[in-house]
Amino acid sequence: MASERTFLPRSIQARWLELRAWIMRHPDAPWWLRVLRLGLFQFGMGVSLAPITGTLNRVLIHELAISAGFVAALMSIHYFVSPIRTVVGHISDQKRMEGRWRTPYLVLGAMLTYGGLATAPFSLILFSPESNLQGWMVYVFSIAIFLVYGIGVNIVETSYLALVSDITSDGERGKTLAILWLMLVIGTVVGSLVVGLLLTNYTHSNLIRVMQGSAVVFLICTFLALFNQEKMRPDGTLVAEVSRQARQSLGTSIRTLWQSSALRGMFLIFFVATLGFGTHDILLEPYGGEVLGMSVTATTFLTAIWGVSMIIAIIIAGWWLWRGHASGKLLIAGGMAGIVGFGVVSLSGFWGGAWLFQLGVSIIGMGRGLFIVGSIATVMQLADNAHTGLFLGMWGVVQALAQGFGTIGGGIARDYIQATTQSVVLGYVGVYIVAGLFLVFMVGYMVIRRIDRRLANGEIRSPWSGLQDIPADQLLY
Amino acid sequence: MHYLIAISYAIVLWWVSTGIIIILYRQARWTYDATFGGMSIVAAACAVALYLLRENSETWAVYASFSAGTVVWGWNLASYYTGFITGQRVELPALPLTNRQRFVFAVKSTIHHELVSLLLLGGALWSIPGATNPTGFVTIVLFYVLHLLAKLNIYFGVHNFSGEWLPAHLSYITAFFGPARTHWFFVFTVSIATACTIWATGIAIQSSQSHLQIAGAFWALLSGAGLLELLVLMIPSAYLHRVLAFLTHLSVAASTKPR
Repeated sequence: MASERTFLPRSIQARWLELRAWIMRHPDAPWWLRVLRLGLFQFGMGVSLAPITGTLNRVLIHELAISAGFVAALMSIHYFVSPIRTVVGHISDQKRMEGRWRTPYLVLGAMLTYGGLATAPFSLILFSPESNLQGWMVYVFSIAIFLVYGIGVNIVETSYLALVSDITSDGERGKTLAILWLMLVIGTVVGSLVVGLLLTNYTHSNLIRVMQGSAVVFLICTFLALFNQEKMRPDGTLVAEVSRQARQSLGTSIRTLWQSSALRGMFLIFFVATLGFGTHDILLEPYGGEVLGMSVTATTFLTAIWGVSMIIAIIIAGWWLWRGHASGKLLIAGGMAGIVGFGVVSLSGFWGGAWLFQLGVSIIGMGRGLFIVGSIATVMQLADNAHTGLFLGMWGVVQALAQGFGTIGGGIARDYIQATTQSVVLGYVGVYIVAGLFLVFMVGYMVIRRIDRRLANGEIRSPWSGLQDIPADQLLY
Repeated sequence: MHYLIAISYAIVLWWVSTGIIIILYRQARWTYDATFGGMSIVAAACAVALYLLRENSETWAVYASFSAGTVVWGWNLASYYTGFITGQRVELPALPLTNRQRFVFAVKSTIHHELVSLLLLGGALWSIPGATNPTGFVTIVLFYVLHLLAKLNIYFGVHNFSGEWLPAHLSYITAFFGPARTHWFFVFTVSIATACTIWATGIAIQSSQSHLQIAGAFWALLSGAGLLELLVLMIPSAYLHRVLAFLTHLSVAASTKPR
């Protein structure tokens, strides 16, 4: 064994052998290394999300005075192109069945995402007063940029999750996915902390540099995570560890979904709660800037507080599920926390100011983390092996649409209330109160219809399976 | 470094004050009047101090404000556990109680204590806006929130709280305890307490003013300790008791037998 490495210096060779021996002693180590490598993609995704949703939207709305409705629409384009997930997923599934690679779709998606990320900051230049372009051209260009980004993100996410499901066995998939989601959140937190540090002296060109840097980080992480994950046999066919079934058509899955009233109720809950949690996303940073007078660095720090809260909430929820408690309860607890959080955030507009706002953001983060893990676990619980495929993609689309409508609706509602009441504070607070009411509805519906108990008793069941199709970006944005 | 000093101070304050309370509490019943009277005077002085310190952002004022807030809340707790301010005298019907009865009687039997707590909360909240040194006020608010959450948890039901250490005149409140279970409210509670901890830590780290950094460290420690207490409610473990026995002076309590 030693002779094959003689070209290495003796000390490094010794380390190498030590490392190898260590891995031999810990049979779990290769699995962990593999999952962590796969998770690098999620990490890179998280890092690249931070400046877009955390900083760019705030700068556009607050510093450049672009209408919040339009910015919200820009930021949520990728939710509305989410149906492309089903199409790409379907095509790549079919090709996969024929023994071809999944990787080309990944590369296409990653390149589009990179292109979008790298050009997104130029919307700053386009919108700034010195811009040569005027009028509608600016809007067309920025919409085009975010459209490319949105399509890329959807393609790369779906292909990535499908790939993950290809190369993991049924037993380890749940554990793998939990780690991958955690890495996404960690990536966002790290991203927002680093961005906050780099932007202490804020200039537009600084932000452009930071965003392009994050795009490069995304690309490198994606390459490291996915290089050589799909292996080819000498005859050109794939080495497949897990056999996959073909996916159902979209029509079949919709019909199956609407057959059960209990499932319609579940979807209603997911939709309404995501709508509620989603309305505040885009308004969080501008609220800090416009109403509470926080600096760009301080509002970016909010994303970090929020992310840390989410990580801890995910861990708490994990503990809860690990102890064998019902996932439906997590939905209620998360909704309750969200209600309290929105209440605190609304209050901070009138009383208490920035510090109360930060507390509210932290509570909302906790609630969101609990709710997301709860809903994912609920779907896991509902899943069975009879049906696979695009069905859960549909679930993802419902989630994405709720997120999109919530984000855009929040922006439009803010503009509308501000215009009618002539009050900046009321515009935001109105939206937050509505978001809180959505969550009140969700919790009330769950308690009155006893959804959590029926879930725990197995009264609500579904023919779904395939956790792999839940779009990972739902976790955060 | 100033974080370290603040944290050490808060831990010593907590350890010493709980120790003193336990020692006093284990004395003969007739000493309660004198103890409580003395505490009331000290607490009133602390309330005045809180008010006087609200414009002062020097380091010593932050420490003093935190200590004063703690003493005021400590007085509130002592008034309940010594039986001076509790609530209406209730005649319990035959056990077991229904959920509704449990709630109604629990509220009735603690109503005076709850009103005093609300009064303290209101006063603290009212004083926060405009105060350059809100350390003590926020401390009281945090105490209130954490205490309320812990109480509600015990009402809904937890694993590790039997109330066997309660004094004889309070032993009836065990009738209000929920069954030993893990209720979803616990998750909600833990999220709120965690959010408070994260927020306070954020203030301690991020704030550019040194007095807020110290105050944030105090709040973070307080909510962190509250969080830990909530978690302990759920852990039925003999091992844990040995650690806690040291931390919470059970050794002191054991050597000073109640008379």
